[in-house]
Amino acid sequence: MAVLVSTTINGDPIEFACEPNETLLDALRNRLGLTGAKEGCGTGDCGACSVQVDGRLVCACLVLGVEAEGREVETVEGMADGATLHPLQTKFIEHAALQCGICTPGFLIAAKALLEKNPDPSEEEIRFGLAGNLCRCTGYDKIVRAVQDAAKVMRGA
Amino acid sequence: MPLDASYTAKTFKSVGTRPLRPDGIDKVTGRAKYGADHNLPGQLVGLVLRSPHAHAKIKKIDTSKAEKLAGVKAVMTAADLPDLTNGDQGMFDILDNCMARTKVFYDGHAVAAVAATDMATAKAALKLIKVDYEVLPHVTEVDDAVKASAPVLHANCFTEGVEPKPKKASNIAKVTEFGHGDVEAGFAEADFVIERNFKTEQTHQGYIEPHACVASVSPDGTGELWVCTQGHFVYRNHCAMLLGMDVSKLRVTSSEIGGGFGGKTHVWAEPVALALSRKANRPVKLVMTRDEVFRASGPTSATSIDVKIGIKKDGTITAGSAELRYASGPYLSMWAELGAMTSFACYDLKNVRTRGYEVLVNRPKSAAYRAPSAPMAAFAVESVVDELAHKIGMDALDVRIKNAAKQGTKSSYGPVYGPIGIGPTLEAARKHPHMSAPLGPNQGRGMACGFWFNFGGQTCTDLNVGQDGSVTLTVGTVDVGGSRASLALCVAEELGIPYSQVKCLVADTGTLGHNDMTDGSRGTFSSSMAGIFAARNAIGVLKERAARTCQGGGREVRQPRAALAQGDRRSRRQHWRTGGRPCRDRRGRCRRVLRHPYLRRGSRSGNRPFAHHALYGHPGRRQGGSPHLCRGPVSGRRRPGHRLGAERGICVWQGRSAAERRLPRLPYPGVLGPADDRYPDPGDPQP
Repeated sequence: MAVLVSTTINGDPIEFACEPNETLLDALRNRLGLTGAKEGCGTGDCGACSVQVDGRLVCACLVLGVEAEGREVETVEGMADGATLHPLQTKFIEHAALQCGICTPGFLIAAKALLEKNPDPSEEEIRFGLAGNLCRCTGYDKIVRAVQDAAKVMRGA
Repeated sequence: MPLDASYTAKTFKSVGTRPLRPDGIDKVTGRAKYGADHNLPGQLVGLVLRSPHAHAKIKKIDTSKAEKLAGVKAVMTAADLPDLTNGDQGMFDILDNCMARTKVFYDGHAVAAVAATDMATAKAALKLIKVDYEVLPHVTEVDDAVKASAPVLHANCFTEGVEPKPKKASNIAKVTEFGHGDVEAGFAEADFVIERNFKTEQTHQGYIEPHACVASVSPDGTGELWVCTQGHFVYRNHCAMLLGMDVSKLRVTSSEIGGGFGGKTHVWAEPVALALSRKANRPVKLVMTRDEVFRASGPTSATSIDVKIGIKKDGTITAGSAELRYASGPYLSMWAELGAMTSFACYDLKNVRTRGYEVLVNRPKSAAYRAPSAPMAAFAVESVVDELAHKIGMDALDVRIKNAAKQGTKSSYGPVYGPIGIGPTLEAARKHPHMSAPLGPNQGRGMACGFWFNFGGQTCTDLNVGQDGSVTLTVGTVDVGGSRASLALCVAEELGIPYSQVKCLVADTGTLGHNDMTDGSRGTFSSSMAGIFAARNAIGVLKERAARTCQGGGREVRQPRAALAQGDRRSRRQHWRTGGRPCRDRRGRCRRVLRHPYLRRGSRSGNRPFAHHALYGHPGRRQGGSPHLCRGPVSGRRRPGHRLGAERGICVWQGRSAAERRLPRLPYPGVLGPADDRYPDPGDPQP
């Protein structure tokens, strides 16, 4: 029996119906057409489905859709401000911090969550903050450099 | 194909520049569509039932209960697929791997599939399918599988490549042999001979995106397939042949690909999705879970390799031999053959012999994995080369330089090399600062050489010039690593126009002639050649049309390439509107060619589009050896919370020839410098 969920996604009030055992990831992808978050493993290991719920970084595959009730969900689709990309998005492109791109939405959300908590992270802190995300193509260094550069821009440094 | 000397030491305007990658914006905004991101109206959820046994006979499959479940629209087994038993063995094997016919050969082997209105119904339907198995003894280790006592997977497998053909079935599907000279005489000549056995485990490619597709087949026999793949044309051919469809009636569109590394060069679930769709007359979406990816899609081969190398005190390798046993999964492959071909290919050897054994085991069908088979062979050979260098007290790099293959070397696998870069890149490695950088505590420095081919294959591209002079390059090789940028750069270079004016698209199979896969390091290489030929065709037509409308008969047309480059879009449009401008510039050269849209309108040949087609088939293989130099922790101790790069080498330097460096602004998978730019970028990435 589907449950009606009232939530906020990327700032917009949204209502959707989902099964009680359905993951937030499936609800976002299959019911709301927000396919930016990806399922790489379904077990919280790869971080490709990373989203923020009330500002907290979570794997959408480990959260139930019904748990979004009354909360604020942020996905990669909401990162840009209109036509202006988020500095992390810009820096990921500039630093070539992506190749196939399947992990990129998850990395961007994880990096955004990190910089919201810690605007000036060290390389070590960035690597720690992104440790829940797997990238098979880049080898991570360019991702770390992109986050460092974006953090600098966001601090106005 | 001979090297085009006119390109040697040529200065490029576009190639080698660092534009932002054209697929970047879609990938950072979540807009890029991957395999599982596509949907069709009325689509069903497809799920596959997989064997829990590594080796078993299928006695009976009862699908009747599943078929009766409300919401189930199709249930299928191998009985719903063409029986290729007496047909082509290769196609039989591919289909049997997609859906087991009489036996299951590995844990995870597909035995049945359902299509239902939702995931819950599909999962319930799988539980209602009853399969009776007769469990058989299994063998998973490559060295066990070659023993006489091993359970035999296929009663009709008689080793190919040995004379006389064996009368007894075994798990050695094929033996291939390469080499020349007299290895025994070579070993006798050596001061030291070392013989070692090396074993490597199977490894999965580990792409983050699981296999996913959406299939839609109509009752009239036409079909469409959306799929993440490294080669949608090959998928089309295989799926059509396996399902008895006309190739021309199946249109396959490749999605963005979330990593392939060779693993997305084989059909796995796609024929099943198409068969389900055909049976249900509804679109079917089939997405593997990570568990299914690891259980049922192909890893690289596990191997057991015996290597024997003899060396003189002066560093000359007198002979090398290798016996390479590669696990193939349950079906014949060519992985051991590739290992046998590449193992000694970096070296100039008088006496060399390699023998590859394709060994069948109860594991998933082995698949390509980044220069498939070569890394394991290189690991074995290079380890012995290192040990020999140590034994004779010579620097391991010098031993490699001394024995490096060069132009005119008869390769270990047969052909005589043309220009080959292994020697110069080794020399460059010796001079590189990494070689002299001081080592920290618990650090070591190592280097190894590897060899891979550059498979040419068939390629077809289209190049269209838009009304405003911008150019669309349509290719059929899937972009796994940024090739759309590289190809646009090559075409921009050839046409003499800015990169920003070229858009490169990957087209579906209905749009272009056949293209082979993006594999064998061929994607950028062959599509760029076809793109360049298409661009040259376009220039030729531009010249011809200019000639028709120019009083000088076109002889004065000096800069046809500039035709597309002139001015910004607005001024180009303006030229189009005011067509009757003077024909000649101050130097008396024809200017009309600079206004090609006008030219097109005014051409006597009518309003023909500028569409240029190029086919490219590289006749053979290019080859390359590539040394890797690594400085890093001797023991990769994992620190808590440091999954990112915890075990990486501090510096990895990869030697590559300059021709491969098209687009520096790409990540270099697994090839990372330190977190500064003191050292030059290593070159193009591999898929």
